[in-house]
Amino acid sequence: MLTLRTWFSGVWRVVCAPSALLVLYALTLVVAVPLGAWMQRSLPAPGVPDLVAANDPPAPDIDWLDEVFVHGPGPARFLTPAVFGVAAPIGNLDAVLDGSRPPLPLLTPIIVFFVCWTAVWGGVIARLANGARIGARAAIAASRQSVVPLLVLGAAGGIAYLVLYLTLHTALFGPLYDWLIAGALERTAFSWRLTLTAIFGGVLLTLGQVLDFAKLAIILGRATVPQALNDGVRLVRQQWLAAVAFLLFNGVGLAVLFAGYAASEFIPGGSVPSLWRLVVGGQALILGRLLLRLVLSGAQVDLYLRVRAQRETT
Amino acid sequence: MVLAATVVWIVAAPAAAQGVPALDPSAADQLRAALGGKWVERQFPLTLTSGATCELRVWLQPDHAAHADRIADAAREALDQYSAWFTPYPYDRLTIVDVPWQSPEVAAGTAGVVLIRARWLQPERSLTLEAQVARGIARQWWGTLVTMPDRYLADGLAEYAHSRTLERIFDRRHQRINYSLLETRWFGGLVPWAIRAARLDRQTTGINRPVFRRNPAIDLSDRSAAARPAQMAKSAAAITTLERYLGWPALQRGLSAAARRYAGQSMTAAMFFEILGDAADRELSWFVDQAFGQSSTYDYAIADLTSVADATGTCGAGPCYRTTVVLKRLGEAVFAGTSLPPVGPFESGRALEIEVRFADGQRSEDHWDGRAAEKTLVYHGPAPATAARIDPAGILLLDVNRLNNSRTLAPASPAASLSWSVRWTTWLQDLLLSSAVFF
Repeated sequence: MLTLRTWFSGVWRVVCAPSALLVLYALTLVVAVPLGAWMQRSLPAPGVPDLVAANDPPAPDIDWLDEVFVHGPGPARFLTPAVFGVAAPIGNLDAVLDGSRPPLPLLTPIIVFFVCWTAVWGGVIARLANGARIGARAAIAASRQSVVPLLVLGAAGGIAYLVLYLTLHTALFGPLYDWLIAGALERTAFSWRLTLTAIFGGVLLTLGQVLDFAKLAIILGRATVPQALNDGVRLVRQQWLAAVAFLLFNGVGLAVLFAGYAASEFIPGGSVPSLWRLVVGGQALILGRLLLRLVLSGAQVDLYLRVRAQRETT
Repeated sequence: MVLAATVVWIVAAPAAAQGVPALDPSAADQLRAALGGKWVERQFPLTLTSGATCELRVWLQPDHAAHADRIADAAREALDQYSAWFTPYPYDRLTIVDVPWQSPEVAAGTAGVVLIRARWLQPERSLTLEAQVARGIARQWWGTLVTMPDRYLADGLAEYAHSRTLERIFDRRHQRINYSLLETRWFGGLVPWAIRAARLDRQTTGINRPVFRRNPAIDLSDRSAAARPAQMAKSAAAITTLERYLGWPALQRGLSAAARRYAGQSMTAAMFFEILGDAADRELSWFVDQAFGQSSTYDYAIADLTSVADATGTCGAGPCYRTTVVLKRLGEAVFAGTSLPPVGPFESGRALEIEVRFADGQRSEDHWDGRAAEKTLVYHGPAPATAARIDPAGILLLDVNRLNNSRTLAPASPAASLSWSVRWTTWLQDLLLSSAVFF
């Protein structure tokens, strides 16, 4: 019951703070749109139409796309069929689970995004924790105060994730998986992979929860990085049921979001959508993902504040 | 098409299909016993359009039983089409064996036996399953009925033939002329997704052109297993180029004549191209020697396009523009159209078409034999040029880079590039958010 109340309280905190959503959304635009514009300028003229069967409306020319991937100039080489519809977000999520990294040049925008995200995260959390408007100055002050320890924590977290992928992921999905599925039917292999993914995903998400609560300890409790990590571990251990429930709610929300995005492809005209439908649908997906992320953070903030209040009263 | 095929039958293939390899009725059972495990058997009595009947047996992995009807449908279509295009299917039965999904390589099968490797989940609009069936059945003609020492040619013919069959299946099922939808796989390759916007074309992805594009100079005489996919793709691209250059009726006549003439015998690549040339009434060594005999590559390009006002021009009243188109041959291979050498300054052959479009809507069509390293075309006209393209119909599918085949002076419509960049930007935003799991 407490978990549900905390989660709904987290939702309410996000509903009351649309500015937090807008700031993070603007961040994704600031990093991605210039690269998208560069991509557009670098794309060569479309392919030879005679090679492609006439369709109405014209479908994207996949052979031309491959030609661009192999022979195209500069950023055009990063254009792959992975960008289509719901295949894009699921493919990205699959890459996270599979431990496959994006092309090296794309690590640069990811690092820039990490720094920007970390820089504003203090203000976002302060706003969610306050429950009411705090003003730009207070948000900037909260961000400025926490940015350095958050970057340190992020770097430490990055190393921990790397170790996790190099050890546990490699062991689970390398020799163990191969041994489990040797001679098995494909549906049996699917069950095994699901099991191993649940194990690895569980460890990954637990680490993520520890780091999330550690960030709250830095921003809201002014803790040092070691203290914050300690707080994070303790909170996840004490409130593991709530932590798991938050992740489950978030997972369900993500599944609903992806299902809705996939369903849009089945609406007439959805498989080859017009430009405005591409923009509206795509940005709705991004806003939806950000909203889910913020709801998770809002619930974590609420839980953190409740636990801290309890601790102070006792 | 029927009349043409009849003519070839009389002229080039007088022998009936004799010496057809004997069908071993226990071959499929022996194979299943060797592979072990549990199997599901389904039987389908097929009646082909020609009235011939064929008993189809499908041996499936237990978790693939739901695919039986799709496999039978693809098999019926393939048998129907190949019997009409090449020669009637020589046996009264066909067994399709679905080997375990982890088998490293699907072998070519034997007389009356086709091997496929189905997957547990197969999206309806992605025809990868049907492709395996159609490709395997094509090998009943190319490599089994007609034994072929040149592996690349048998592979290329099977690849080419299956792409035509798949186009028909996709058309019949979805009322669209496509090869398939693009299939992507997640979760270690276990979960597929057919991308509805990514419709594949027979003459590009259907013949595995992406593989050829990455290995255009593959040596066709290389017998290693690693070289085989690229050899198959190059061979299929060359055969499809012949289809686009000669036309399907001429190519089909040649395929039919070859299948009838060499049924039960061995056919080398030289024999095949000789009979193909006879059937098409064309001399093809200018193409065959370079496409199949060497590791050289084709690459033609529009190197430059300029259109400037010409005060001294002779266009009559009104403005006059001088348009210059510079064509370049960047690859070693030549797509000439004939083996006859040029005579003095006169070119020999006109295989390559050059199209120049002008601002007033006029269109010029020229031809080039593609031999020289460079050629310049000059036009005087009342309007400036807007675009120039070499091989606008996309006949030469062996051209390794088609991005340099056109050049435009008018600002291109941003619609296509805008929609691509919007898709990519959304994907990048999503990638950033997926990475934020670690922030």
